[in-house]
Parts: sequence; C-alpha cells; structure tokens
Amino acid sequence: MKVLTHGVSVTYGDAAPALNDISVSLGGQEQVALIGPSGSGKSTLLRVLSMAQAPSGGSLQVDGENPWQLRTARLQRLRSRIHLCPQSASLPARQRVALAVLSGLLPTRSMLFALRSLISPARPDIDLAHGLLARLDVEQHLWRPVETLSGGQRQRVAIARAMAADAQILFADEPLSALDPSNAESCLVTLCRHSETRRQALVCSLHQVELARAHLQRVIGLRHGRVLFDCPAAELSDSMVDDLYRGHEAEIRA
Amino acid sequence: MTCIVGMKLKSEPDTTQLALRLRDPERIGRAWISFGVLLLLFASLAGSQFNPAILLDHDSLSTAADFFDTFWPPRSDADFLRRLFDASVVTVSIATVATVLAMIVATPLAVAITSRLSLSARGRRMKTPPRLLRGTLRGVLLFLRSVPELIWALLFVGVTGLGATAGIMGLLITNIGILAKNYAEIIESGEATVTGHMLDNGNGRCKTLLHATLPQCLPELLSYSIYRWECTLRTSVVLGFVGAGGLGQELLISIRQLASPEVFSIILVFVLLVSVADAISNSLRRQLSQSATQHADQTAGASDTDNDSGPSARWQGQLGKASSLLRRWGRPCLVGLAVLACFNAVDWQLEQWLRPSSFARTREFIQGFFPPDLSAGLWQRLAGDALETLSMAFAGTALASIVAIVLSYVLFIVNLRGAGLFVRLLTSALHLLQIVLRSVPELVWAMLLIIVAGIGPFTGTLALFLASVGVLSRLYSECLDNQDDAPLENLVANGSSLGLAPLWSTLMQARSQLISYSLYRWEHNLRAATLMGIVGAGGVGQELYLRLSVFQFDKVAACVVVIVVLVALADSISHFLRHRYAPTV
Repeated sequence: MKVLTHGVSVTYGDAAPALNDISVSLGGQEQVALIGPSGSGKSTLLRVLSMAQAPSGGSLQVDGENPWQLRTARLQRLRSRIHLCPQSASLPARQRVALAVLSGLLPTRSMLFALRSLISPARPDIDLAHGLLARLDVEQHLWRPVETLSGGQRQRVAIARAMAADAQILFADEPLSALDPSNAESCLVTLCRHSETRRQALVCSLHQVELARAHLQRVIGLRHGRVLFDCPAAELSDSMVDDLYRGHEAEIRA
Repeated sequence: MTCIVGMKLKSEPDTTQLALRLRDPERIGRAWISFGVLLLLFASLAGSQFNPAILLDHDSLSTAADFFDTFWPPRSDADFLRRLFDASVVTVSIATVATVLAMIVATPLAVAITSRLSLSARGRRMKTPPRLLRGTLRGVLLFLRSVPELIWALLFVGVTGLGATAGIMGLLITNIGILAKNYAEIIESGEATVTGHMLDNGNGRCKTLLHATLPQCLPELLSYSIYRWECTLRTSVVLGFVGAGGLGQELLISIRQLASPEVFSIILVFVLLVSVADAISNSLRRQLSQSATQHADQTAGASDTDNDSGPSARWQGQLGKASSLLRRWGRPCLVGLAVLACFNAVDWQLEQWLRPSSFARTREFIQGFFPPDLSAGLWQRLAGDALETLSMAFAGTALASIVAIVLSYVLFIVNLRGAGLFVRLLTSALHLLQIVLRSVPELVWAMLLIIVAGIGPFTGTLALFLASVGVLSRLYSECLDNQDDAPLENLVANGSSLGLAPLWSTLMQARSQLISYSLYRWEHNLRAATLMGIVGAGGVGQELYLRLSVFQFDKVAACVVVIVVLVALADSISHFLRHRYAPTV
C-alpha cells in the first residue's frame, strides 16, 4: 500500500495553516517517525494521511486513488486497510479491555463477529487479545472496563488494539505520551517488531527524538506545518534537531 | 539493552489458571440476566393477555373502521371550539395552581427532611429524635406520592362532588410528595462545603438556608419545578375522566357518544397543549441556566464597567440598565401574571367544600377506610389484579424499549450518513409520530384502543406501549446524540461500516443511561397501569373504581394499600437497579 501527498495543506478557520505544502510518500514496510515541537501539525498530518480528515488543498493519493472522491463504501474499504491510533485513546469508557482490543478487528471481520463479541467474545478472539496485551504487559486487566485503567494502561490497550488490526499501515499519534521512559521504550520496540513481522508500514509521531533515532528507519521533521527534513534516521544530526526545536528547547526529551 | 526489553521474561502460569483467566467472567451472569428478562417478558405477555390477533379480528376492525372513518374532518365550528378553549383554560389553570401550591408546601418539607441542614449531625451522628422525625416525614411523603394523582382526585370527587377543586387537590397532594423529595435531593446533590461551613461557624438553619443553600440550588430547584409543571399539565388533561373538570371531561363525553370528529379535535388540542407546554418549559429552563452563568460573569466583570462616568455614558448606562431589567424581569413577571390569572380562572367551589355536609362526608369517608377490608376473597382477587398490573407495566415498557432502541438507532445512523430528500422526509415523519405518541396521555390511548381491542389488560398494555415508544425513542435519540464522538469517529476512520460502528462505540457508552431511562419509564408505567382500570383497560384500578362507585370504602382502602405497595416497590427496585447495576460489555 502506498500513500502519497502532493502540496497538501490544512487550514482551520482563519488561523495560520496547520499544514502547509506537504509532500511525502509512505508505504511498503517502512517505519517512519514524525517529530517536531507541539503545534507543528503532526496530528493533523497523521489524520490526513490516514484519511480521517480531508486536506484543504493539495492532493492525497492512496494506492493511486484520491480517497475523497470515492463513494462512502469504497472509502471505508480503503480505510479498513489502515489503522489510526489517536493520541487520546478514544475507547468507550464502559467497554471492557478485551472488547476494546478486538474493536481493531471490526472493519475487517464479519457482521457475525461484531454482534457475537458484544454478547461475549469467542475464545480464539480472547486468546488473540490476551496475547497482544501480554506483550505490552497489561494482560491482567483483560476483563476490566477501560474507565478503571490509568492513562498509561489505557494507552497500551490502544496500542494493542492497533496491533490487532488487520491493516497494512499503522498510524500512531504519540503512542508513548502517557508512558514512563522505560515502558515507553519497550512498547515502541514491541510495536516495531510486530509491524515488522506483519509486514506493515508504521508511522508514529513521537516526542522522544532519541527513541525515534534508535528504533525507526526514517525521520520526518515538521515545524510550523512544513517539512523541515525527511531523511534516514541514521543521517539525523544534532544540529538538525536543534533547528527543529528552536524556541521549544524545553520539549526535547531523551 | 533494548533487545532484552522486547522479550520479557515471565513465569508462565499453568494452563488451567490461564484458561480460567481467559474465561469471560460476565458470561454466566449475562446468560442468567437475559434468561430472566426473557422469562419475565413472556410471563408478563401472558399475564397481560397479550394477543395482537384481536386487532386483526373482523369485528373489531369493522367497529374501528366505523369510528375512525368519520375522524376527518375534525369538528371545528365556533361553538365547539369555544367550549374546547374554556376547557383548556380550566385544564391549564388546574395544573398551574396545583404546582404553585405544591411548591409552597413542599419547600419547608424539603428543608425539614434534608440532612444537609441538620445541626445535630454536624461532626457526629444525628441524634435520635431528629432522625425519627425525618424518617417519619419521608415515609409520609412516600405515601403521598405513591398514590397516583388520579386516585386522589377520584377520592376527592367522592367527598366534594364533581369539579375542578377535587382535581387540584389530587394533583396537589401527589405533587407535594414528589416535589419535596426531589427538592431535598437537589439540595443534597449540591456542594456540601458552603452549607457546612456556615453551620460550623455558628449560623442558624434559616440563615444558612437563605445565604448558602438557596443561592446555590435556586436555579436547579426552579428548573425542576417548571419541569414538574409540564408533567402536571399532562396529568391534568385526563383528570376529567374521573369528573374533575377540564378537557378530559369533554373527551369522555365525546367518546361515550362515539362522536369521532369531536374526539379528533380534542386530541389535536391535547397535542397542541402539551407541545406548547413543552416549548414554554424548555425556554424558561434554558433562560434559568443562562442567567445562572451570566450572573457569575457579571459579578466577575463588574469592576471594569463601573469606571467610566461621562454624562452620555451615564444616560446610555441607564437605558442599558432599563433594557437589561426588562430582559431580566420581563419573563418572570409574565409568568407571575399568568399564575395569578390561573388562580383567578379556577372555580374554587369554596361554599361546596365548607358546607357542614362535606365535613360530615369526609368524616364518614375516613371512618369507612379504617380498617381496610382483609377478607381472603377480596385479597385473592387483588393479588391477581396486582400481577396483572405488573405484567402490563413490564410488557409495555419492555416492548417499547425494544422498538424505541431500534427506531433511535436507525435515526442515528441515518443522521450520520446525512442522506437525501427521501430519508429526510422519513425522519421528519418519524419525529411527528414521536410527538403525537408522547403528547397523548396513556389513558387517552387506552380509551381509543378500547374501541379496537375491547376491555381488558391487553388494551392497557398497548396504551402504555404506544406512549412509551414516543417518550423513550426521543430520550434515546437525545442520549445517543449527546455521547462523545471520538470513539465513533475513530472506528469510522479505521474503516468500520457506518451501520456497525455506533454499536461498538456510541451505544456502548450510552448503555447504562439507556437502561436507566427504561427503568424510569417502567416506574412511570406501573403508576399509569394502576389507573388503566378506570377506563376499563385492566389492572388494579378497575376494582378500586368499582368499589368506590358503590361506596364500599373499606374495600377501596384495600385497593389503595395494594397500589401504594406496588408503586413504592417499583420505586425502590428501579432506584436500586439504577444505582447498583452499571453494566459493561
């Protein structure tokens, strides 16, 4: 699956554009980090790339098609091949963790699965959810409602849901924001390994520049809604990072 | 180091333990609950003699056709309309007067029963005498609100004869019970610290009430009172069925004469009245909540505006003040005038009430009530009636909940898609249906349905079902619309179909609220089911109506006891379920 943007921009009302003239190409099995100070447009770019939001200008091509010119059913089919894991984990509060993880499968499974799981999930599905949760070290909460979890636990459930999804590209918006440093690293490693074995592409926005450099292959730097650099992680130099975070030095974390 | 982090070393639990952990802990409970609900549903369908085939029966179809054929056009000559107008004025006046009087009586009672304002409970356990007093008062209030308005009105008609005053007394007594309880709940739901500090600093109860509790809760108290007025108006519409005046009386006469054009006009007036009351109550309550927030803003911004004092500015300030005064006090004054007009419009029948014979009749009445009849034969029949009443309420509510959830889910999905003209027409037709279903009271539905389905509990169940579909589908729709969109949007953005995604997000979030709406409705329907017998649609009301008409007061007392027990039971079961059972999926 290939996602291409050409000169994409997004404006909210009269404010300065959140994204300005963005041209990137993603896909294959590449693992990409999106870095930049807060307010630089990382979340908006992820939403545009994952077809959650139509761009105000420029063009978006997913597998050679413009998704926003398709009929709803076709658009949904295209969307079912990606998964977006938003920053504030948007899980219904009263949903139980097992079902929250399985909801990643909702787009690609049958109607029967959707109805049956609401009553009580099937055993193979429970095994699947439990296995994913165990890799993120939250499997003991399998049957608790999401609302009783802490922010960090909830975020790991959302990551497990993304891992459950049968998608070709995973988009994760700050998947580590509520985790402590050691947990953050192990979760990122788990996520990367998982997408490698499933041959998925992975695009995460991250605050932790060092983690991005260590575990992902390519880094895109966003500043004021523009791409400042787009290079292999190995070529990312300290001076590039300094330029990216100029005026936002406090935000850089190891 | 990072290579090791990925592969965590963990002691594997043995397989049986794992299997245990993987089993859905709620599966068995859920199976039991579904089984129980289904069993209850079938039992209640049987208990309410549910038999839709009656509706398609040839005889009933032809009677219905005869009656409903002449529905159109509604009767609209000036004479008849004038009569309807007068009856509507009486109906509105009865409701308004009863609500205002109940507000006045309920306020001190609410202050008396709330523990928030108890001095002896500050910092220790409440002393025994005040606790006993509060408990007794709460019990009395529970009794007052457990007997439905219409039954009180029926009893008062027995004492003072036909007329509006009996209706007012009936509405007044039940309203006192309901208002006092809810006022106390509102007072107790507010922030505890302000009131507590005032009491702890040595202020008396009155001062604390006036300076801490009331300023805090007044908007909410008024808002609830207005909502109560709306409910009272709905009940007041049917008071005429027991001879307590107003529109219901006109409807009763017209139905008895099988004059269907008149019936149709009256029903249109019902819908109009209830819709107008709904609109008025909504706009008043919106203004209340706005003025509450505005007031906070004004006090915050007051210091900046007082500074400039040029002559023109001062004049403009005065003009602004006048207009803001008008804006602030215009509507309250109008409401006050309307209330006064209502007090004026009511025929108080004072001489009838103060006549010595009325007193004598009251005494005879009360003496007749004690002791209630305890004979086995009567109680056997009453037990059957009670079961019938419970069945009607449960079957009506359960069926209505099912239909309402499907209806509101479909409407929600259709709105989500934002589709074309045909679908929009369909949704507005559904909205119109909702309005008609919920503005015609259950008893009126029952009267109309008797023509089709005949006398018996099936008719009552259908009536409860129809009215509940209207109310519940609207509440459900609002509830679904009010949920947080983020989970739904996320599911849709990840490619779930629009038809399924709300099932896994919106519906799941709304679920416990939907269940509690259904429980509230069940509570309401049980109350309504006790009254269905008055028009011959089954339940315990039939026995009561019969016994009252032949002046067997001890047997009436037994019926009242059954009704009180049923309503109080439903009250506490629904309260318990709403607070204890918050399900997850």
